[in-house]
Amino acid sequence: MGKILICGVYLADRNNWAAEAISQLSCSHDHHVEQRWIALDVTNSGNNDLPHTVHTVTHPKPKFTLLNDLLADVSHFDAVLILDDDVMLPRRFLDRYLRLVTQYKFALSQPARTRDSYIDHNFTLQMPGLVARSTRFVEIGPVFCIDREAFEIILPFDSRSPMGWGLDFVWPARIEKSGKRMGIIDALPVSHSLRKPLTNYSRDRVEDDMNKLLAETDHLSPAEAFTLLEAYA
Amino acid sequence: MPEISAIVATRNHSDVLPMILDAFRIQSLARSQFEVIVVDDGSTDDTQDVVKKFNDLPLRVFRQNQAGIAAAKNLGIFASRSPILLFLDDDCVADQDLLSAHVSAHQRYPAPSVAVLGYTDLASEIASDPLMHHVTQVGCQLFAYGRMIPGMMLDYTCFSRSSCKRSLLVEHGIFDPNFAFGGEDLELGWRLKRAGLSVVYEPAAKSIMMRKLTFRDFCHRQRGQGRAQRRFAQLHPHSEVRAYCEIESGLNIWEKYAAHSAAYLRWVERLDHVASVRFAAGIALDDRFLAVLDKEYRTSFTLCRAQGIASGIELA
Repeated sequence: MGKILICGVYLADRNNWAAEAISQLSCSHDHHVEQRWIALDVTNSGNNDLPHTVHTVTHPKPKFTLLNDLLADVSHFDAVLILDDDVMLPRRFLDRYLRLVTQYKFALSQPARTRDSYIDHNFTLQMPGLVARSTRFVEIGPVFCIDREAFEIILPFDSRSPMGWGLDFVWPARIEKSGKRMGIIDALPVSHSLRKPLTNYSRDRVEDDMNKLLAETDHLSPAEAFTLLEAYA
Repeated sequence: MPEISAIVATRNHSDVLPMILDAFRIQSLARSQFEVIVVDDGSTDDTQDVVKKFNDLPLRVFRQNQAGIAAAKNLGIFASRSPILLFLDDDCVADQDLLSAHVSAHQRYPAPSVAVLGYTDLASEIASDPLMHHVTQVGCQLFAYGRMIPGMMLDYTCFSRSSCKRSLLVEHGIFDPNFAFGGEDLELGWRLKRAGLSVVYEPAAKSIMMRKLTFRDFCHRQRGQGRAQRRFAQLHPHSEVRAYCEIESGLNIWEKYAAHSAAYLRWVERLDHVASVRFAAGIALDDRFLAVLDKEYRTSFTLCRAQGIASGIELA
């Protein structure tokens, strides 16, 4: 039985699925789970009292900056699962997911997205013939998991891109350099269909941050990153 | 890094797979310049054993649980390491210049949105078969190269049996796994139109279809095409798509002739059998018989496609 830390940020004044996710993730049979959620409630009028809410933020603050605050004592845990507030998880997600991540030895991983999801990269769409795939890309959301063996490689999240953009092209360079594996779990896809991305922050600002990060940091190109290394059926 | 990846999605065709893979041993393009990716879509035959005999090739094999042609091709796309991808059917053998001709064409047309349609010929043993002759030269339900000239720019409907830049697919769209039994390239081609897809015809990029289809095979294929077209038109409710897929006429035909279709198709199958036996025996078919045969083939395949359209699965 491992100690799993689950962290997320929910938009308290927007329709979200955080309550369902929090409830479902509380029901692990295989692991000791601790959840830490931050309510982002810039209008100060939202529903900011979901279970496991450790903090309410009333001024806009970037997601990965908030997550770093939650992860200060991460070394006490065996794995961290980060998720957004707008995903629908498959039944008994956590135990099944962590079992597969362990089986395939992924230090960094994500579940694939269902076809009805909003997507940024086709690469993350579920591949229906596979259980999992070893990849050179794991996206910064809406759900990803870091095993303790990758904590030092990934955490704390690089503050040069506080919304996280571009980190997913830097991570594979670091993961591969350290000889670790990353991958996508296709057998347990999550639905990311509640709302379109990019409705809550400025694209230009985030792209600037990403471009600066990538200019200064070793990373993979999209063509390199969107590559499957091994397939597991 | 290789220049081109040939992606062969296959299921239970271990009988023809050796011929297909063997053709990559004699490509004019250097082996360091290409890779072959076989995606085994959950075969239950000895496909996995067959591919092991080709470890001298730059070959990588991936296996998935049966999920259909579109999912298998997607796996091939993301497994590939080349900037150019060629999708090869698992009943087609590459001519020795196939890969170099595709690479050359892409060098002439470097824009990411330009795909290259090669030419598929029939193997000499089956080219004169009455049915195969009909579907490639008369009714053109299988191939329709007649009106194409080299270098001609074609639209999205010619995206099948083609090569394209990997970046086009990775950035703008991959195959829809719901098209498990065909039609996946037509549907993707439509979506790629938004990214400016055009297809250039390059007959020097030649492959050869080895498998003779029976009358029953082709009826089955036409039903599948009809179902895929119905699904395509439902996914993209655009007048151009609906017109191309001939949904209304398909539904009307099936409504009118469904009751008599089984008996009619049995009769045409007998006619086809007579033609096949005569062909195998080297007996020439007279022009009047051939004219009747072509007419009945055409009607049969139209009917089967209409049946597929009528039985097309409604999307949730």
